[in-house]
Amino acid sequence: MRPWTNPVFREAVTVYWDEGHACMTYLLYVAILGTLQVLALVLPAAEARFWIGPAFLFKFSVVAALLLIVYLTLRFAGLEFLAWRFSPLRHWLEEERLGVFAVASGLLSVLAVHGLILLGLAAPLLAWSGAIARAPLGDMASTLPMLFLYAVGYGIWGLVGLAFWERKADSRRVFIRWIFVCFFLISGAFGAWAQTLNPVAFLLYHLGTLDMAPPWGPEWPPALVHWAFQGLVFAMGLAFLARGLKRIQKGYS
Amino acid sequence: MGLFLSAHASAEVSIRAQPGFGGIFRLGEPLPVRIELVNSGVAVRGVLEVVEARGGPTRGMEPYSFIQRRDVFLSTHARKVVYVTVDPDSVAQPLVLRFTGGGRKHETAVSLRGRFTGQPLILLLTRSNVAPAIPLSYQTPVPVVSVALGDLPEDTRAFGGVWSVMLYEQSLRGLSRTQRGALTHWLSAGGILVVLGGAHFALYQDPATAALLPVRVAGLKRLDALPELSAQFGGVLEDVLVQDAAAAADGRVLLAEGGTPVLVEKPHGEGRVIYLALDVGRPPVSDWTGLAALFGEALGAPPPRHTEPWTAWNLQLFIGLLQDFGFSSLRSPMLSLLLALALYAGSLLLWFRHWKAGGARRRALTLAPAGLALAWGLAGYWYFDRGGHTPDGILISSTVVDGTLWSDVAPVHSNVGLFATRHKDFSFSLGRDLTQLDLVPAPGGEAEASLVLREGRPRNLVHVPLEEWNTALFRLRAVRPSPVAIEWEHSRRTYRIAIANRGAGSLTECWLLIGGRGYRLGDVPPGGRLRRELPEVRGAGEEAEREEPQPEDVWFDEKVRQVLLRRSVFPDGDADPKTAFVIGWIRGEDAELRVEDPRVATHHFKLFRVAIPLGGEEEDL
Repeated sequence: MRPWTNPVFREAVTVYWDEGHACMTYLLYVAILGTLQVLALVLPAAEARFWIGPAFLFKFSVVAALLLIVYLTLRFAGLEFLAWRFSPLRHWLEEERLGVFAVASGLLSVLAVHGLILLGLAAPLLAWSGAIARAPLGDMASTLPMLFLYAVGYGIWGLVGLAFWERKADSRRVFIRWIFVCFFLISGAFGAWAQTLNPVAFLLYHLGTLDMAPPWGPEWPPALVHWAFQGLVFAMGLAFLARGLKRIQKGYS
Repeated sequence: MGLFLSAHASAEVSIRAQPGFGGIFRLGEPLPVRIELVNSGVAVRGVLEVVEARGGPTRGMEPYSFIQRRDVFLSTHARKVVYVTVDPDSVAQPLVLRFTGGGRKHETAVSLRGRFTGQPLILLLTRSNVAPAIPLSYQTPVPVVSVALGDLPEDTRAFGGVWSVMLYEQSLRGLSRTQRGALTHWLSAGGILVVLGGAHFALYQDPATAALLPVRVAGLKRLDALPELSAQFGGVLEDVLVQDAAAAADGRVLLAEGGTPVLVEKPHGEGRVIYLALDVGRPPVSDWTGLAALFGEALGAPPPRHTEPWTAWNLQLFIGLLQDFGFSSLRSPMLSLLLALALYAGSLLLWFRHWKAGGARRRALTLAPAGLALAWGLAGYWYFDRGGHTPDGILISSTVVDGTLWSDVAPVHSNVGLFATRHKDFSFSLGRDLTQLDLVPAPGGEAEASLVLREGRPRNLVHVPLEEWNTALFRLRAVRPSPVAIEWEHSRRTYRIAIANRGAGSLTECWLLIGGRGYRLGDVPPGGRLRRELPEVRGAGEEAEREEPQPEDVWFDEKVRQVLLRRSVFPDGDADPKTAFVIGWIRGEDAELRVEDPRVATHHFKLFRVAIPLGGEEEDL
């Protein structure tokens, strides 16, 4: 089933983009990212190395964009916005008799479009910060696909939350925030190997700010370990999503 | 056939080098290197590179290569001698000499191990067949190296490890203009030239040599006995043929025998020229036991090792200047960014309103945000990358000209900081005499693996490759004619001071500093003269008269000059009450460094200072 014929996807298109309910979130997202950039230029940090705001503007902007994009895709995927406008998953699986694969691909397509839009809206800001920071074009070009992969790779856990706790909005919220805090904030504080897995730390390593030793010897470069772990996270998310949807299909509430 | 042969003929260049004077140099001081290029092939134009190891743990910084580059043309089957001055931070690494030309590269490494001494050198210049022994006391085991006149350096810095140059039956007529300039600059900066008498007195009568001597040599004279010398230095010295000379106007006779000056001295800047009428190369003087003591008396003690210039220059100070005085213009993108963000968000909002209004154009407007983002992204990238006021680099130089009361030359120390906002190979030109280039250790700041000095006329070019947002700090040194002459008199509880500006720039905001406070003296235009009479600074408990000008805290019109004075020129803080300083900013002169790149912002500061010892009792200087 192609995405635009997928009823799950079409419903999201109608609510989020046709009726324009996601636009205000997007605008706020641009405003927050822009404000953070300006603050990064205005507020000089106390440490001597960081007195020059422009030098670190691109790295700061990329990290800010990463956190905002992943957080928003998690929340979009977890139906934290306009949940009442969407048909429940049980409706698609039982009444519309869609398969687990069709529902999952519909949900993933919505997630990917959210990720692309958030990335596209941030792209001019990242390009400007890259120009101000005199960041190499290679760094700028390689960062955008990385942000998209993180958005989809972690956003899928918002769908997992939806599949397991569709009727328990509070549990879903807690789960989404727990995922965000654990994978993006706390994991960076658990030594070298955890830093290798942490997207923020790896992004800074990729941009040359952070030194990262191979966690298990030179035959395991940090990039290989990191992307293998991201693949695992995504695969586990897919597996849990499929399991959650099957539970609904089998009548669990 | 001829064409075929000429097409395949190539230059065969061999490189031979001798570091130091006669293969010896003083450790830790700059040294000359005599490089002989022998071409046994066709004529070739190429580049000679001398690579020295700098930095490393002893300097507290990462090792880097300092490369001196010079264009050289070698004729067919020709030999060329090139002199360079090097100042490696370590003798563990060899000097690498590389000639690249005619599509080939010839390279050789010259080890500096085993060639150095901890003592300063004495250079002996003689054309005589008699090689005089220079007996020195056991307390001063200084190597004496015989050098041909043509091998004297053309660069003042190469004399860094030399204590004294001695002439024995050697005229200076054969010196080139640059060699002579280097020798006189070295003398003015504290060197000692010793002229030893000999049978060929006419050699000291030619104008090139006589101008430097403290005497006018007339001929030869036989002295039956030298009781003064025998009594003072021991041994017996009789029936001696000495040069007959009369002391010049500025010559001071230290020893005389029967009205004949034997030892005469003349100050030359901070250095001295000593004339000894005795022929130390021939008996009976060469056998005289008191000769070592006489040399000891004439030369004094060897000079201490060269010290760093008395100014502070570090990353913290440089960044402070950039940060506090808005030299960097780095905050200029802030308003532009704010404006761009507002326009971008506004255009998205406008699109949203139009799109919500719907109608027939709704479908056409669907992809408009993508176009908006693309257009804003590209336009903003171009503006912020190429436009705006952010320079590619910022260069700040702080130069101190250290004058003295008794010298016409002054050491010049230039502290330079270069901050890059873009990855670039920066280049700036220097005067040919301002070539002692040292990187200053700067934690967090770094130049890449090499610094390149390209020798050229009229100015040398320095290439500094720097990564974006990185800093390189340098020090440059030279010895130049002093642009300012100071006359000073301290008598009857007053200071009398006269400042003559002989330079091309104005001497502005002059101060007389005593004990950390000062009297503002005013400005001196080029060619102008300023005279002041000021009351002596009163001690504790003494009251000044009401009309007398009072010392005050030093201030300048620009605060950055105050910061440079307190943190770079006088970084120690505590003022020595026994030393007065006259300081003034030199403005309107050509900068020591020139940057042709319009994308590099430059800020130059140049201060003249002279230290004046204040005697305990009244004295006239």
